[in-house]
Amino acid sequence: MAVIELSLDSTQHLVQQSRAGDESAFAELVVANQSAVFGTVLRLVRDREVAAEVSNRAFFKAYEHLASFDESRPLRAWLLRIAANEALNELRSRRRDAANVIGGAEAEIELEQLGGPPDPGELVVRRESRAAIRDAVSRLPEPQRVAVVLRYFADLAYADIAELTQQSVNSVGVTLLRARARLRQDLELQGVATDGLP
Amino acid sequence: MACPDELTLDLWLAGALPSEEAAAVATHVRTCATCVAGEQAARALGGELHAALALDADELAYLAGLDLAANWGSSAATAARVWGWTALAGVIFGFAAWVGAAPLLGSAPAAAAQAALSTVLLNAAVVGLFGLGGALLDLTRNPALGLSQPLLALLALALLVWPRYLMPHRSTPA
Repeated sequence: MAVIELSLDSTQHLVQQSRAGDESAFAELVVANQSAVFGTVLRLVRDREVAAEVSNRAFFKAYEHLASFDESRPLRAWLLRIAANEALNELRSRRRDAANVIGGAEAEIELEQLGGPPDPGELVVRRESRAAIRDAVSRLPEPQRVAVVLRYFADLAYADIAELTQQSVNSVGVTLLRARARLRQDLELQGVATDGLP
Repeated sequence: MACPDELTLDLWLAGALPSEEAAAVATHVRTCATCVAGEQAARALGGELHAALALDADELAYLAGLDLAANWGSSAATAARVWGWTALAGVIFGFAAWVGAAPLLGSAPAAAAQAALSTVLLNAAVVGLFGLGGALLDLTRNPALGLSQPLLALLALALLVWPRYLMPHRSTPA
């Protein structure tokens, strides 16, 4: 699925149309941001069907509250904050481990091939390493997993993560440091190279 | 300046330090091989985590099948919102009926109407209070959203309380 990147002007134009009640304009914004929103929710709730429902809910809430969106700020970050909040609400209300932990092992080959034909052996090692990292992230305690996903998938700023998780920016930093230390420990136990984990 | 601790270096890399402190850290890092290595390791880790967490082709195919662009308005939230507006319309209608009926009816029908309306309004009050609580929770948990939901709930609550003060006061027999 191709990710559509809208220019700032296009985004602002579509936001204005959406505010005027044009649902087709908002649908274009959904298309442009659905991977980021769905991906963030999916990494947080770890269940595809729940992620789909939460993403729908997030887009619906965003549409309803477009009037409160500050156009001087990026739309995607605003959408991700709403989506992450919906996902956190879902986690709070369910408090259960989803059995359906996602992640297609063979699918990452497609992404790997973007940078040219790599060494097949290296490709396998890298793919396994990424799968191990993803599994290790899914085993993190919830506050650490939330911080890691919001930072390294959603690309949210520490200030945004702090606001969403109702803690200080320093606490977000500490949580992420602990998460990385735990990831390194977990991966070392599995014999996965952790050169990138300080 | 001595080497910044791990947290300070991390906050600096994330652009989360105040500008003066960030400038001091940047100046130090430029001249410190240890910190440069730490910076590079942190950036490498960020890249690894980004790559590991990215949606794979299988997940992207699932997402494409969802057709969120067509379905974003058909979620349970839509039904909840429609129900919310229906409840609010019911409260307003009840308020209007109460205000309109009270002066026109005699004491017995008025008492019956009052009892019936009280039941409806009590039910609506409970729903409204839950709605208010939910809306306040929603607002407090999601700073990205505005004030419309709590204001809507407050309006419903005001409409529930206000009629009590509009009813004519009965004088007690001597």
